[in-house]
Formats: sequence, structure tokens, C-alpha cells
Amino acid sequence: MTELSADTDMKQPSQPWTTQVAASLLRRTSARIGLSWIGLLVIIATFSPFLASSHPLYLVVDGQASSPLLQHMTPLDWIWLSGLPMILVIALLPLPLWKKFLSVLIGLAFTAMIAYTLASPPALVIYEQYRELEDTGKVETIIRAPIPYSAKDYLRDYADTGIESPLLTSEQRTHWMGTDENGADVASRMIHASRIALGIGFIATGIALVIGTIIGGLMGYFSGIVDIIGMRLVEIFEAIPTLFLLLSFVAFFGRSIYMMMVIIGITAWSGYARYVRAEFLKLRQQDFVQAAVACGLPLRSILFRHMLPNGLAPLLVATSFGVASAILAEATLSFLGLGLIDDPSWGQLLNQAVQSSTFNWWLAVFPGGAIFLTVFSYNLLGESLRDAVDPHTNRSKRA
Amino acid sequence: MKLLEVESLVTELGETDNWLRAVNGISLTVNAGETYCLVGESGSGKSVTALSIMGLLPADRFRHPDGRVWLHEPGGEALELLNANDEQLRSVRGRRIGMIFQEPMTSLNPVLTIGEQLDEVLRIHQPDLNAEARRERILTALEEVLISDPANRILEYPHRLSGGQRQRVMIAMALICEPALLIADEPTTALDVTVQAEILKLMRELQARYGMGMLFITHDFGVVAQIADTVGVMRHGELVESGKTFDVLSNPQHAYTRSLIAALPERLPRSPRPPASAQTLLAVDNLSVYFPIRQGLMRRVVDQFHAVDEVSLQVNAGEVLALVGESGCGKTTLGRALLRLQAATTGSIHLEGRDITHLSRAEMRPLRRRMQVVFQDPGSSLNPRLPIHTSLIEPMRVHGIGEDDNARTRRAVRFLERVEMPADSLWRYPHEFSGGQRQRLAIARALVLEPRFILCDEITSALDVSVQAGILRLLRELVDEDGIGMLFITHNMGVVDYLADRMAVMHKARLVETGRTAAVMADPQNLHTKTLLDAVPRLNESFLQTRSGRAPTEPETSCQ
Repeated sequence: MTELSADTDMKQPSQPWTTQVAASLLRRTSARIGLSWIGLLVIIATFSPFLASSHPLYLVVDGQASSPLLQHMTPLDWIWLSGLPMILVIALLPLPLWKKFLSVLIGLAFTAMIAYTLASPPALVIYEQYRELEDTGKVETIIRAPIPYSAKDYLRDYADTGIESPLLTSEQRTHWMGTDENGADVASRMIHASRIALGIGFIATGIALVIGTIIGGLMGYFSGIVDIIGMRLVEIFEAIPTLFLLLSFVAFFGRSIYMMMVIIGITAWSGYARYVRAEFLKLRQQDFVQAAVACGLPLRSILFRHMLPNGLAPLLVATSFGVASAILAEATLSFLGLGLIDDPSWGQLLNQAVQSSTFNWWLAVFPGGAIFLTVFSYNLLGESLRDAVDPHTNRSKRA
Repeated sequence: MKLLEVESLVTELGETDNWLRAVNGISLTVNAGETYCLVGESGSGKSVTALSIMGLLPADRFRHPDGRVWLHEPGGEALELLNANDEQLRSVRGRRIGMIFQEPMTSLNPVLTIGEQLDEVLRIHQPDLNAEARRERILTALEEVLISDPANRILEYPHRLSGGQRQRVMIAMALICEPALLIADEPTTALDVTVQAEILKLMRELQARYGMGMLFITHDFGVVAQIADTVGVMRHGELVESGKTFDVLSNPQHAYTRSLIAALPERLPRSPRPPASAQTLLAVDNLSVYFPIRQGLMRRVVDQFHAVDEVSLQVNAGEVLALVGESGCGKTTLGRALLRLQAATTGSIHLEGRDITHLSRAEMRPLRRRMQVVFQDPGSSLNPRLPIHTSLIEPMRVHGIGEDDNARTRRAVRFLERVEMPADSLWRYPHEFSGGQRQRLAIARALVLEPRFILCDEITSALDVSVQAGILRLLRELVDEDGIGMLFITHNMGVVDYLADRMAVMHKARLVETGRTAAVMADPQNLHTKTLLDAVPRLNESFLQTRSGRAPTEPETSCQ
């Protein structure tokens, strides 16, 4: 009887599990909200030089046309610009997941190599020159970015610069979100800071994920003595307070965003290792894994084809929360004044809101809002992912 | 005297706009002192019927477009349960109707002692009793369900009890307020046959003593034959046939009942067997598997747990050897050790004359295709993330069968036809198949490597009888036509009777008896074999010829 009734279901098109989860994820409003904010952030981060820059996009002086913006593009700008379309194209190619992942990594490394050899922006950047040229009337045509201030343009040509509320700006200049204590445009700094927020989230979590999956997978599959040693290692790393480690590294080795990513990454893997270990311990006893062993399949196939995809679900959920906490860690460090020195960061802007004698609301509202929205989006995504991969919540929705 | 009367009960499950009819117009009557058995395959609506009567369906997820359920009180008035309010239902549940569920492992609260759980029932339903009287009642109730030393037992937590003992406690809990009606939803399905026999006997005795009415739900016709006065056969939410047990079982009127009874493994038609081959395929000599018990900081080995103890057996080509025994006797560990999925402590395993006991993982790999395995649980026997195509092709690729993937795909299709599955199953995922279909696919995955030996670990125990019959027929064909040797682990004696040429009985890690199936079944030499065979509830010719109803309730010779 059961076999007969299943025949009617056979007409449904087959969907891999990943497609089902993705479809069920996109049906959820909270996931849509989270994904659209993160997507918007990715676009802003990628095109940030075109959105906010003191360098004009197109400039004609004395009959000579030039594009100072393109000349001043750093290698990192080029990597972002070419990386996004590359990732999108590779994502659409019909390749297995691990091949996609590998080709993205190779592609990014390749672009980085080319960008660092070819792009050579001038070492000395004078932001004021265009405004001075304009004032002297030599400029014939000029096309500027929507926010005509670079993140590090402290507006030295206007002698009166300093911290300014968006409501009080002079007629000469418009700062949609005011300026910070150095006189730089807050909107511009926030746009450029989105790269750091995204980068630290992805790279730190990526490092943690790779270490955690490998160690956790080995612990779960081999168990026994490997498991005992691995768990002690996990406990050691869980005992390290990330923030204090970051503080001491900053004190000894100076400030570097990459160092922060690595430190957050190598202290955060223990959670993922626990998840993967638990999943693998469970999966090892499953019949299909035993059957794969009995078929004589190689260990590589058993671990990565039969076990890992089945244990991925809780890991994905943990990852999206992990990204959020990495962003918060960086923001916290910058807020404490131990973040990057000159480079823009949301946490650093937030810090300035309370530093002077008055409360500068625009420095609290906009960067704080951005941090809140980003962390909130990742949490929303994590929550919906949990619902999407969990068959129980699915069933109760349908039944 | 009528106790429970169900009148054209209709239950629909679902939500606001999407309703599924699970029970469709069921009418039945349970009289005092009688057992009404609802029997049917999975999804036939048996449990939903019981839950509807008790009002235990999830709130707002069900509705009753039609039907009445009357619970008759001794005074003559009757309570209509479907439209009763919560207060009325609460007073009825436990006091007038007791219920026993299928899974003894989860139906007791693990953080409360047995005594506390029984006490709570009494406190709620008999508030006038004082603590001393309640304790007396609890001790009596536990004595009645044959729990030894109840005074100490009531201080223990459920994890200290075995599955059978927990089910006894559940029965005690259901009966402690002396309900007029007991609803039992597959109370013995999760138990071993020997324990099942004891529990069934106990329930019959208690019923005779208190004159309860019982609504008993099961899928096992053997159990029906043992316990039922009246039987109702359910299918797709409808009662297709009902009547006195003897009449229905000996002379079924409805085609579905007939097909269900015909699908019982001991009643399947048997084809003539080809002569058995003398070629020994797999020989096991004095095989033992011990698990070390470690204690202390240094994980010192303090003792050995003997999972398999000096077992010797052999399987010939074209022969099915059935390995039977109670749960926990080491059947599955033995099977895993044979396949080298579990290291053997001592002893040797020879596959086609070659000693494989100590081969390394790499040396073992080419031999893996000679011996294959099909597991018990259809839900986990196939990788849920891979389409069937990948599951079937990958082993072939690893073992270099077929020149390219096209040839392998053609081969896979051929084996799918062999297990009677359509070729387009290749592109589907495991969740799109029913349990029986998944087991067929798991068999196909084992077959693509052309093994000489297949281990089947309870592969039909999770399936309905009609589905099981199809799989058993298929296995029989495979063994007869391809000369495969098979070790079939099971606890179902009917399956052994149909499928096995020889059978081996395990008890507490040791092999206690081996022999030709018919000989062992007819004349068991070992006490444990005898116990096991006696405990099996069977619907055989002798029952139909000699008994005019259910088995007598007077004490029988003890099973222990």
C-alpha cells in the first residue's frame, strides 16, 4: 500500500537538498530582509570608490581629459571590483560546491597578484587640488561621485573643519551625515568602512570554519585518542578571551586589520569543531556511512561526500551567527580606540560620538545603526537558516 | 455491557484550508471485559482513532466533521467525548480510560522516580486518599504487574528499568485508578518477542480480573490472534472488515484482509528450491568481539564486555542462514565483525577460503565488493544528500566496474529493474521513496558490486507486512538465481520460516543452536530456542483449527 501511494509522489521533479533549503529560506520574510541588507552592503563595499571619493570621475582641465578616480584606485579596489562579478559568474556555473569554492579562491589570488603588480596609485594624495582647480575656474567639465569626499579627506582647505552636525553644515558643502572630529565626511567613511565590516566577518569566520571543520571532523570520525586530544585543545582555546588576546597583540605588534581577522579566526574555531564533531559522531553510526565503508569507498569520499554534507546544517547556522560576532568584535576594538588608525571603521566613528564634551548624535546614530542592521541581518539569516534546515519546524508549518 | 461506542467517527488533520481525512467513518463498540483489536498497516489511521477517542490530538490541528464517541457510565448515562469540555475530559482520562503507548523508553518521565509518577496519578484522581493509602495502592499495582521488590522499585528512576519493566510500570500507571476502558497503542511493538509474550499474558490476566474493556491497536496478526475477542481491519482510515476474531482470521471476507493475511511471511507461497551448493562462501571460526570497559583518569581497561563470544558458523553459496535472537544478544555486532566494520578480538573469518580477519583497510578494499550489506532502517540506509544515481555509480567507479559512467548507468538501470524499481529512480533523492522502496534501492546498491555474500540486518522489520512480502520474495529470487550466500539477521520467526535454509540462534553473545530451519522449528533442542519459538505470536493452522477465539486466560506454563 505504501509503495502504491508513493507512486503519485514520483511525478514531482527531484530537487537536491541544497535547492530545497535555499527555496525554503527565500520564502521567509526575515531571511529576505537579512539577505537584502547584506546584499546592499556588498554592493556598497564593492563600488565604494565610485560612491564616495574626492577624486572626480571625469575631469577636463585645459582641454585635457583625465580620470583621477581611476588613477587613484588602489589594488584592493580593483580586487573588490573584479572579485564580485567573478564570484557571481562562478556561482552560476554548474560545478560541485567544493570546485566553486576552490575556483573562487584561485580567482581571487590571481586577481590580487595582477592588481598589486599593475595598479600603482600615486603615493602622495592631495584631495584639495580639485576643489582649488574648480575655485580658480580652470575646470571645463567635472563629474564627481555622489558623495564628493574621500574617507580620508579631512577638508584641510576649509580652515574651519572640525566636528559638524549634518544640520549645521555651511552652504559650500553638504555632509549628509555630518563630519567627524577630523573633519572627514561621515557618510564617506561609513561607505568605505563597510568593506572592513564585511571582510572581517567573512575572513575571520572562514578561517575559524576551516580549522573547526578539519579538527572537529577528525575528532568525530576517529574518536578515541584523537577525540580526547582534540577536545582538550578545544577547551584550551575556549579558555582564551578573544578581546584580551586582541588587545595584547595590538599592544605588541601594532594595528593591522589582517592580524585581527586571523586572531578572531583562530580563537573562534572551537565552537565549529564541537558542532562538526557531534555531527560526525552521530553520522558515523548511520547506516549509509557504514554501507559506504562496506562498499570499500576511500576515506576521502566517506568524509567529504557522505558525512560532511549531512553534517553541514548546524554549521551553517552557527556560521551566520559567527559572522555577526566577528563584526561586533572589530567594532568593539575600534570603539575602545584600539582599532585601525587612519582607515575608516564603524566602531571608531561610534567612539567619537562620546569623546568630546557634547554628545554627537550623528556619530552614534549612523554607524551604530549600520552595525546594528548588519549584525541583526546575520542573526535573522541564521534564525531562518535554522528553521529551513530543521525538518521539525518545517513539518509543523505544513501539517 | 457496552462501554465505548464510536459512531461513524471522522477525523481530519490539517490547518485552516488544508485538511486530510485520517479517519473516515469508523464505528465500533467495546464491551466490558472484552478486547477490540484495531489492526492495519502504517498510515491506516489506527492511532489517530485512539487519539481522537482520548481527545489527545494536537489542538487546532484537527476537526471532527462527523461522528460521536459515547463513554457509558455504570449508572446508565453516557458522556459524549468529542464535544466534552477539557474539565470533563480530564476527569475521564486516567480515571475511566487508561492509555498505554508504544514506546516504553520515552513514555516515563526520566527525572521523576517511578513512585512519584504513580503517586501523581493517584493524587489527582483520588484526592481523598492519604499518603499511606496511596503508597499501599502503588505497591499493590506494581505487584500486580509482576514487578519484583516494589518497595525499592518505587524509589528508582526509569533508566534503571528495562524496556519490558517500563512497559509494566506504564500498565500499572494506566490501571492504578482501575479504569473501565484501557486503550493500548501498539504496547508490545518495541519489545522483544519473549517480553511481548509476558506482557500480553499479563494484560489478559488483568483484564480477566477487573473486567476492563480494551481497545488494542496493533499491526501484528499474531498478536491479534492472541488477545482479541473482536477485530477490526483498517485501511486508509476506513474499517474494511470487523467481526469475531476467529471468523475474521479463518474466513476473511474483504479482499484487503485476505491479502494482509496472505502476506504474513509464514503463509507466503513457496517455490521449489534448487539444490543447495556445497561450496562454503563464508566461514567464521571461534569469533569473539569484546569491548573494553574503561574506568578512571587513565582510561584503564578494567573489564571486557563480551558482545560476541566464540561464535562459529558458515554460509554456503545459494543458501540463506538466519541469525535470530533477542535484542542485545550480539547479532548485529557479529554481522558488523563479519564485514570487518568492527574489529574482531579473536577468531578468524574466511571469505571464499581466504583469511580476511587481519587484512588492512587497503587490502580489504578490493574484497569489499565480494561481501555487501543491507541495513535495518530504511530512513538512514541511503545518503539523503545524494541522488540514487550517485549512490549506485560511486561504488562501481571505485571498484573499476564498467568502462565509463554511461556503461555504469546502464548497469545501474539493469539492477534497478532487478529489484523492481523504475529506471527514473536514478535521478531522485531518497526522501522521495517509501520505506519499502528505499530498502529495494539499498539492495540494488549492494547488488551492483556483484557480491557473493550479502548480510541483511533486519531489513524488513520496519516495513509493513505487504511490503515485507515483496522484499522477501525478491531476496528469495536473488539467492536462488544468482547463488548468493546470505546471512539474514532477524527476530521474526515467520521470516525465518519463509526465507532461511538454516537458522542459528544466539543468546547472550553465544550461539546456542544451529540447524536446518524446519528441524529447529519443529524440535528445538536448546531451552532458549524453545522460549523464543514459544513466545512468537503466530497465526498458524493450529490456532485456527483448535481455538474458537482468543487464547485462554488461565495461567500457562511460565515462559521463563
